Amino acid sequence: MIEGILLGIATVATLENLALVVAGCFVGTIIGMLPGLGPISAIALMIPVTYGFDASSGMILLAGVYYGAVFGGSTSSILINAPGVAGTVATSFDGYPLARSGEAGKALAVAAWASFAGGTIAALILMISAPYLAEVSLSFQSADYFVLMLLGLSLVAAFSPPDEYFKALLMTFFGLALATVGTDLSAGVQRFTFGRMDLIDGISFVMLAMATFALAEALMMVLRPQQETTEQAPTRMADLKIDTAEVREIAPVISRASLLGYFIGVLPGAGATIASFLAYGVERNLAPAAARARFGKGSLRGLAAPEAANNAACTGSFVPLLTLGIPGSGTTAVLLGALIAYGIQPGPRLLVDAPDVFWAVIVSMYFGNLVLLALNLPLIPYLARLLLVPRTILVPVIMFFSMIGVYLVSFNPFDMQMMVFVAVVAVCLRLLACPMAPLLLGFILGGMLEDNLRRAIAISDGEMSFLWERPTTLVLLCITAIVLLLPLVRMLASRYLKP
Amino acid sequence: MPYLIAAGGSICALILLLSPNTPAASGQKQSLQLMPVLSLVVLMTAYAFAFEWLGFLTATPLFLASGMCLLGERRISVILIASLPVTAVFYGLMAALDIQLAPGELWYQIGLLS
Repeated sequence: MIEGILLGIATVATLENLALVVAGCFVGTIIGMLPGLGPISAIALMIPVTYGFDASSGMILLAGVYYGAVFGGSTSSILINAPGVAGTVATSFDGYPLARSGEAGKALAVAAWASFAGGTIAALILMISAPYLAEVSLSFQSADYFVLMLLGLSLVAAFSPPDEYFKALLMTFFGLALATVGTDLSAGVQRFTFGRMDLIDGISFVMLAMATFALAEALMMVLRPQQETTEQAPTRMADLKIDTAEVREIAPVISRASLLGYFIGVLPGAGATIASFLAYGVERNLAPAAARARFGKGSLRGLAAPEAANNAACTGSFVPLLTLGIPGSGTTAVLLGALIAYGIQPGPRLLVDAPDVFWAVIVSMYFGNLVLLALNLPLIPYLARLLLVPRTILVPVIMFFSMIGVYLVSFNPFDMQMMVFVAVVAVCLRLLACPMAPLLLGFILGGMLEDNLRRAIAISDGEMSFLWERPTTLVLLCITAIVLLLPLVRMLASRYLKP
Repeated sequence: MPYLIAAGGSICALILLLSPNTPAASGQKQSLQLMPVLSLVVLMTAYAFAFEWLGFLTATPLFLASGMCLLGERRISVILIASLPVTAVFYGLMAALDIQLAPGELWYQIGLLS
């Protein structure tokens, strides 16, 4: 392992590759900040640029773009509540209220430090454990994945406020239903496409995310103009400092969230989104009552937890990619495509066949995190100026970036047309106080959920017994049931015991 | 699978419909600015449909400028300063990345582009 790390450092620490890390992070941050463009589009945009490089340099650049885009996504989540990626949705829960209350500078600083700490902690664990982790992931079967995803979905509903529990569940089901649109991959049947070619590949995730978050938020800004006065509250940009008490408050949060995020990122199919939601939920439940009340209204803990977790999960999601050749998320799926384009087959043999690529990527994560901190923290005051742009200009620009971002993924104007429709639906749902995040998560996991269920059923010859035959599956299933029933029990108890 | 999801969704919807508590939903009725939102929606639909026809470079400044007008921005200098550079910078960025944005079907038909 030591020689591996040394090989990685030797590969990364050339002038050219260091420049690539810096360039990747910088470009990634800018693209990620634009609402509508997340890491997936950022990496997809950069792949053609990397064809001229050798495999390790290309991967170093793309990894830099990945972190940069995730960080940039957090920035736009905090400043305009327009998460470019599902992984930063949880960041906007507390980051946006903080920015609205005039503490955008502090929110961005906390996000930068939490990302840095999360990414660095995860990179260190990854260095030590990557070779061994492959075995753990390998023992997971389709049935386990299926139940694990069920658990992820239940957790989102369970962590929502009590009066929104059923709304969150309903939205989850809505998301799952939307995921069934398109060609059913295992049967080859078209479902709910209404005979349109444009729907054969299903609904684009970026489209859905942009329509339900960025576009809907822009429309809500117009719909409820009294929010505008707080919107334009002068931002204390100079206040980038975090005092010692605040550091002491978020330090344990960051370390817990980093560990959690990393291990969730390792599980294929989970990744940054679940990690950030889980970390947010866990920290809310762990926080003392006074601090818990601040969650959703601008809590530093609520901001630090998902930020640390999603960066740690980004690092963790490289583990299944590098060791198993299975992408853990949409982003790593794009990276998988890039690796194959370089002529490298990711999988258990990567460590043997191309150790320089394997270790260079891991070591570049550490450098990438340093660059992000060095690059982003000084730039924060300039980024915060985005808030000073008046609403009359901001709203059309957000609408433009959302729509063009969707167009850039598919190059199909039909997606833009559908997006407007979805945004209108989303605004109506928002007016009914339905949470949007469960819908997105249900949508992302829907395809994989169905896929793994199918495979599990096929493996067990059409029996549902796979749900309880293996201890791992059974334990996960029991946790899911508890998570689903607990809020119900609590709700009934509060209704009947305290009249 | 779709049947399972539909069943689960219906159960939740039923519970929501039948549950008596609705103070949260009805408590915050404010005056909603419906007109500008509707016009923005119409504008976005128009943009989505006109995009390939007019091309990125024509449709985008028009879209941004009329969006700002609809929201009450009346200073022409501000509208121009905000809408044109966004279009130009974005087009330049995409051109640098070798991405061809819709040039506009109309201009081919008229003969301005070939």
